[in-house]
Amino acid sequence: MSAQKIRVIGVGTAGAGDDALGLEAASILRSRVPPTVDVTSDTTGGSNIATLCEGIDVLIIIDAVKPTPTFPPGAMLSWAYPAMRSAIDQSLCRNTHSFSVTEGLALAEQLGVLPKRVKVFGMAGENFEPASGLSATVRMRLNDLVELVLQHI
Amino acid sequence: MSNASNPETRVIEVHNLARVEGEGSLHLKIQGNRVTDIRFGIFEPPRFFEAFLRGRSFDEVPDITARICGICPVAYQMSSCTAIEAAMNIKVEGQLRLLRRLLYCGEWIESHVLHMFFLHLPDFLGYESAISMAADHKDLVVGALRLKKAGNEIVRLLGGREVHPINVRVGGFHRVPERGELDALGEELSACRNFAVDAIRFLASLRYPELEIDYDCVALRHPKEVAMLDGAIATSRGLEIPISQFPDHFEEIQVPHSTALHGRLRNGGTYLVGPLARLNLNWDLYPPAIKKLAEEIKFTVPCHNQFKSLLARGFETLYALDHALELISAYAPPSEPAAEIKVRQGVGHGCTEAPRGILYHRYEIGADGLIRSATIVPPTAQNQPQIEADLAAYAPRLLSLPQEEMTLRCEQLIRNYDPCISCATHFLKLTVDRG
Repeated sequence: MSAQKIRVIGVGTAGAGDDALGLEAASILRSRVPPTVDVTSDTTGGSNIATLCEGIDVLIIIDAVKPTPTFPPGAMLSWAYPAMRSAIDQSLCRNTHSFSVTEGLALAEQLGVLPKRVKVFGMAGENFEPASGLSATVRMRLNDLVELVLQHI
Repeated sequence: MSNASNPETRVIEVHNLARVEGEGSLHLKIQGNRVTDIRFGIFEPPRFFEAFLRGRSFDEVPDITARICGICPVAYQMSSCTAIEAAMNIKVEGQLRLLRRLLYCGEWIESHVLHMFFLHLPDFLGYESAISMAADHKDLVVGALRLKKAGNEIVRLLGGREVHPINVRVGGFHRVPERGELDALGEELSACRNFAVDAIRFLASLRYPELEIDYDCVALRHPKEVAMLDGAIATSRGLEIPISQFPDHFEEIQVPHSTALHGRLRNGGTYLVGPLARLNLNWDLYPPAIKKLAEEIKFTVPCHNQFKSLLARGFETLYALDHALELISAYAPPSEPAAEIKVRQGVGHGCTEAPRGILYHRYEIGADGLIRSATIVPPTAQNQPQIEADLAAYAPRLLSLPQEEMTLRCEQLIRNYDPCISCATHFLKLTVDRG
């Protein structure tokens, strides 16, 4: 394990179908990483990202991604920020009431608190309807996403 | 586009407002110095929720209505709970009531700080966004982020999570915190206080457009405290009514240009809800320290300039912070997390002060505890006609400005209201019709 200070943020909305996959992945990760790795959940979109960047060397974000013909539900993606800023912005689900993840990262960058290494992991969702849980497709692939994240910790 | 036959006609047409909850549009037509047509339309989701609620059990309502808004779910939970409790004659008093006020303080802080510093302030400072503003105002943005997080933490601690809390129920809470759980929160809020004061001083140094409107302010009024959860509905024209009489004096109407309902007085007048209205009607109940700060920055009440709602939010944020500290300091866990509930048939009205203004709920409940009918009147619906009236008064003063600047000023005015439909910033895509 690396001696770097790592924080993982699972982003999403509980009870909005696959939008919760970042939260669920974070929940699984908590039991899989050493206590030195901080795993947190954030249901506010991206507005807390700048604050959560304090005192860390590596930031990992997990969020739901809009499905496309190329990336159907269950497909996994990973990007380095800021190198792949526009790809992240186009793919992640937006929060209409607050900052998006990319806006939160951009704000952290502007404030000079962005860690040197930032990685964003996404999984394409299938269903984002209110009052619903994860789709079967996403639930089946969630452990694969967790394994992918673990490879980077 | 230009209007060759009538060069004095200027039209601002906005078809789609991006980053909004639902869809919105703006149409503004000015002939000479007169606004001849103004249509600020939005599509409003809460209508569907009223239908969703019919046939559901009363105890599901707080969790369902919390889903209406991601930034003020506590307001929906509080208005629904107080309405249902009124219908069933349930009294929520003592520490349970105070815990609800504490929860509401958290929502006021996080919602107001988000709007003030990240959505509205860039307008005043001439930045495209909070992100570009952060380069020149780092300390301000960092302080605001910390304060917002402290507000979110109150909601998380009492509500179970920061957005769409799950710990609120009719009668109180599912679980109440132990005394020690609030200690760290109190320390963090205390650490944010100096920033909150300095931020108000900074906001006072901004240049505010001059637009005085004789608003009919409407807000809750409680005899002993700054109203959040209960009290009477008061207006600056002198009306003071129990919450149950809201439908007798206020109504919602349909307008052709929008699927959203517009709130108005039954006599047809527009009215203002939200921070400025609350401050104008409740200023005498504010603590001396806040009044002294207002005196220092030369902020006078009543204030009729909605651009200064930015300052009103600042004062409400400081009040919420101080009040939260008081409540935390005096907290003793109640013996039960909720008042006893006996299901009974009835009709109940609830009205609480959401960050954007009064939020009215009415429920008719059957003897089986199922919802027979529901009415929800959110603050943005009530403010819509007033937004149009403000634009009608303001736009003629902007005619000498280039189209882009004029549009930005109109957007800034709309953001005075922190409308739910435009929580995000810089949303207008403009076409000019001079033809």
